[in-house]
This record gives sequence, C-alpha cells and structure tokens, in this order.
Amino acid sequence: MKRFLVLTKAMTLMHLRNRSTLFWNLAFPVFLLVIYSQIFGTMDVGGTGFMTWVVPGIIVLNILAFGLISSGTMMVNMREKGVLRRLQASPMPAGQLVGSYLLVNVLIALSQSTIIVVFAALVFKIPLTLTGTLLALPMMMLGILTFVALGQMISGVAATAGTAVAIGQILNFSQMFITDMIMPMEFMPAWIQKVAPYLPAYAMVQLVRPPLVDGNLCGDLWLNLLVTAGYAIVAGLFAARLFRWAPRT
Amino acid sequence: MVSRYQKRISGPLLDRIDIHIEVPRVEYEKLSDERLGEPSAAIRKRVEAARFERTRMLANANLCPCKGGAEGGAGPLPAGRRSSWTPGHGSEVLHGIPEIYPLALYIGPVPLYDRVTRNLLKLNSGREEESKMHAKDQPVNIVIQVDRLSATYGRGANVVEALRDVSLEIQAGEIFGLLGPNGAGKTTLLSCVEGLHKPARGTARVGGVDVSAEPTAAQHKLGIQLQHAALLDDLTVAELVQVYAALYEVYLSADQISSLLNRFGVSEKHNKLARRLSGGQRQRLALALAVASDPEIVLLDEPTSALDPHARRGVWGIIRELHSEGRTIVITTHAMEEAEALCGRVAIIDSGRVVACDTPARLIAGLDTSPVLKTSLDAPLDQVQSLPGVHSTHYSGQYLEIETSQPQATLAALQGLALQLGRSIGDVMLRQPNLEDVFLKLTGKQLNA
Repeated sequence: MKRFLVLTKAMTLMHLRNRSTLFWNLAFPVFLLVIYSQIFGTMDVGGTGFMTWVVPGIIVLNILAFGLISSGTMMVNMREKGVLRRLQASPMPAGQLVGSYLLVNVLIALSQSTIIVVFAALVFKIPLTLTGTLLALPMMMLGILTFVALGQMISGVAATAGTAVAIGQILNFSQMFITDMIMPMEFMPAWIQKVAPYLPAYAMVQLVRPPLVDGNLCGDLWLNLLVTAGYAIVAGLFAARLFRWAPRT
Repeated sequence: MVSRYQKRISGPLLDRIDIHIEVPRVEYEKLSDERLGEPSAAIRKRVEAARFERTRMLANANLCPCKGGAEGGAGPLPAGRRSSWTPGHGSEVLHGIPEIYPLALYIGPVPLYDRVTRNLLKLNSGREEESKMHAKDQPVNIVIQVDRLSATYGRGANVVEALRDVSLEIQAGEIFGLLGPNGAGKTTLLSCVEGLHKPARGTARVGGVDVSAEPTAAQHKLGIQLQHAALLDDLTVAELVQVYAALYEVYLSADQISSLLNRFGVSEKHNKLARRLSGGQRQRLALALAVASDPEIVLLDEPTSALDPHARRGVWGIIRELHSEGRTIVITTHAMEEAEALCGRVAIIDSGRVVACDTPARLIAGLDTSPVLKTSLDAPLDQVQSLPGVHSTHYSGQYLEIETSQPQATLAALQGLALQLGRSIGDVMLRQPNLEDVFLKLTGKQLNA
C-alpha cells in the first residue's frame, strides 16, 4: 500500500511540474469563459443565462482535452524514455501501476474542474446548489474515467508522444463545437444534430449540465449513462489490450 | 553500506580484516614478480589506499593491527589508549608502531599476498603465509543460474535468434562480465534474467527462484540499470531515489537518501530535477538508483559506454566499492579494458552464444601468444632473434615486430644492440595480449569492428 502511495505522489508531482499542459488545461477554459461572457453574456439558452449554460460545457471540454491529450501523453513519454520498461522489471505489480496512474489522472482532472467551477461561481455568479454539485460529481467522475480510457487507447495506438497528441487533438476539436458543449445544438445543421448524440462528449454534457444548472438529474439519464459507460468499457478494453511496456521496435 | 563493514568486524572475522582489490593481470604479475618491473603508479596508489582504508576501519572499531601479531590480525587497544589515527598518505602509524598486515590481491577467486608484505612477514615471523589461501575453503554459492537459455525476437518469417543455448553460473560476490560486440545478445540475456523477456527455451534462476515461474520474487533480489538510463525527468533526484527504492518495498528516510546520493557524488543535486543533470551525473544517479533498494545482486547494462575516460574510472571505482560490500555484480560491456579492469570472470558472447567463460588471466594465458614489442630500428633480423626472450621477429612495413616472452629484458638488450650498431631506436610500443585477441581467436571477428 505504501509503495502505491509513493508512486502516486511521484506521478502527481510529475504531472504538476509539466507546466505547459497545465497551462493549456486551465488557461484555455478560463480564456473561453471570458471571451464568451463578452460575446454571448446577455444571451439566453432555453431559459437559462448563457454563462450558466456554458460553464458545465466548459468543464466537460476541460475533461475532454485532459483525457484525450494530457493523460495519455505522460504514459507515452514514460514508455518512450524507457521508464515503463524499468517499472516492468521491478517487483511492482502492473495492476498497482495502472491503478496509481488512473488515480493521479482522476485527482488532477477533478481539481481542474473544481477550479473552473469556483472561478465561474465567483466571477460570473453562476447559481450553484449543493444537491446539484453533489449530483454532478459522480457524472464528472464517470466522464473523467471515460476520456482517460480513450486517452489510454490513443496512447496504445500511437507510436510516439507527438502522434498521441495529434490524434488526441483531432478527437478533441472534432467534438468541441458540435456536441452542445459550448455552442447550443439548435445552431447546428440537421445532419450534425442527428450524429452528435452518439458521441461521448454529447452524452457527458447531457449528464453534467442539468445538475449544475438547476439541480436536477438529466432527462434521458439511462440512455446517456449507457452511451458514456459503453465508450468507457470499450476504450478500457482496447487500452488494456494495446498496452505496451516498451516502444514497438 | 556501513552495516556490512560492521558485520565483518564484529563477526567471526573479528581479528582479521582483509581488503581485496582487483588489478589488471599485467600489474598483478608485476606485484608478484619483481623481474617484470615496477607496478604502475596508479596501482601503487590503490594499494596504498586499500591499506589506508583497512587501518581506518580498524581504528573506527578501536582495534589495532599491532596486537594481532605477524598473521596480521588485530586486537583491542591497550587499556587507556585511543587510536591516534590521522589521515595522511603512505604508511600509517598507530601509536608509535608501523602497522604491517596482509593485503590480499587477487584476480578471480584465488588470493595471493602482496610480495612486499610477504617479505616483511617473513622477517617478522619466519613463516610462510602463502599457504593461507582462505578463499579456496569457502563453498561456492551460485546466485544466478542460466540453463540452456534460448531467446528469440519477432514472429513467423522474421524470427531472430538472440540467444542460443546459453548456460552460465554466476557465483556470489564476484564481478562477472559479459563481453561481446553490439548485437551479441548481452542485453537480451540480462532481459531474460530480469524477467523482461520470455525465453523460448531454458530457464534462468535468480537466488534459486525461477524467473519465469515467480518473476516478482526474483526481481526483488535484483538491482538493475538498463542500457538507456531511464530517468523520470520531472522528478528531483531525491524523489527518484525514494520512488525507485519504494518499488522494491524499501522505504528510505531522508538521511539514507542523502548518504546514498553523497556516496555517488550527486548530493549537491539533491533537489534538482533530473532533467538538469549532466551525462556523467545521470550515469552516477542511475547507478545509485540501481542500488537504492540495497540489492544483493546488481545487473548493469553497459554502465560506462557513454562516458569519457575520466568519468569511466569514477564509475569503475564505485562498482568496485559496491563489490567490496559483498554484492554480486554482473556487467555488460563491449570494451575489453573494462572487462580486464573490473571482472573476476568474463563470459565472451558472440551471436547469441557463450564462446568462453573464465577469468581474464586464464583466457589470455590460453591464447599462448607472447607480448609483441614493436619498434622502428634498422637491425639485421638474425641479431634481433638472438636477443634474450625473443620467439620470433619480422619486419612489418618500417616497423620491427618482436614476439618475446620477456619484453623488459629484450628491450634492454635491444638498446644495447642499437648502441652497438650505431643506430637509434625510434618508436617503441609494447602490446600485451588482451581479451580482444582472445575474442578474435575464438570467433574470427574483431570485438570492436
């Protein structure tokens, strides 16, 4: 147990010291929030103020980017440097290593989401309720696990860190604007409105938004839970199958 | 580290503390036989340093070599006296009596006493100490056993045989070398022992534990350094030590981490990120990480290949120190000097097979070649042939090559001949047979192409 904690602490420090990803992960959402408040601040979306509506979307955006890009990159880096090989030769069980890695990712993603929520609540006066936040938390956890699993799947497929980032960015940007996160679905063309509900980001937004906006659970709860969990399980299986200790020669 | 010394002082070896240092074969020969000349200054310095170290250990344990008599033991100080040892160079004097004690110098498992000390002992006791070769009495303990190991890479048509039917036995407490060119299979062999690569056939055992059957138990006994020293760049040096030790369930306190880093000469980088270390510092840190969990067996893959000669010797010093603590060390190298300088026994590997396994001295002796004296002197061959010790001689280009079993005597006579002929000797090169020659003879290939 103690060795699990030592490793978790070490990987957390590694993540936090990697300043560039941290900057993008926090600065970008905050930047978006500020810009959007200037452009759309006075608009209304389906009865709620725009900022209230967009903040959950920004949180999901952050989790999306973190999961697809940042979380996979550290693993790929460790693999490229030969660190994973060294860990493989140590008596630490692989399960503990993966568990520790997941825990670090979850902790960092959660703290980033918290920072965004607090920032939004203080600056844009988003109305938050206690029940709403408590309901949103497990949804966010599920989302974090889903996108981290997707990120790990990418890192299993990608040969180098550069490739992993590229694939992650493609998946990130392709979902960013069309899944009702920061741009309301009503503005999208019909074909996107048909396709988007099958994307994991869409399902996640539907799960996270209602608790944070008005304290209720999502309408199509089971459908969206199924979609998200489905992605998580499939991605997790692929990630486990594709996991390599050493780069492919 | 300190605990191992103390174990030796307070155990059955209370009255005997020997320091073993290993020297290249050539120097060893000189130390044993005065006719071969004076040992080099470097070797003399190391002998002095070893003596120094032994005296210091005795002083720290409040023992005095003067009380042990001619056998070179040690006993408690006279009542009321404290050891008045002060650091210095040359022979140490403990409360007025120059200390004399046996120093075991050896290559491989057979120790012999230093001739200087031997002579002094003869003066003192009139007894022959040479019969006391205590290492022979100790039973041989095998820590790593490789039995008919074969390993492959790739699948189907692209299968590459990295190891073919390799069998080795590595004994406790020795420095064992795997010498071979790049691609010979040294790293693959270590990977199989470390549990990183699954062999196609055969077994590898570490401390009696089958690596394939119980990899975790086997890995616990090993300290390893992979060929490409993999460091987590975003952690500080101290954090790295903590993590690498924790992987083996060894939890080090801040003091222990400090003393480990101090020992390996990276303590001033204690709180610096690993990415800021220079090449030599990274290498020393990698060594420190390999022993952070205090393993009995240490496997080092090419520990000095990326270093300049000065840093190389520093690492050799550390390896010898680790060895003197009783650890078994296995090194991979493609440099003959490293194998000759460090290893008690060497296995020569080529194309996945072990072509020879013995001490460097015996491997070279098995060559049955003599040293070659090469000089630019214009002299008739029959006159050169008649010089003392000369086996054969011929001209190779403008150089005269002389195979001789007594290079010093031949050289002296050669100078006389030159004087007699009224000519001058230009370049002189003396080439002793070495492991590269052994490799060439056994495989027909150059060790370093």
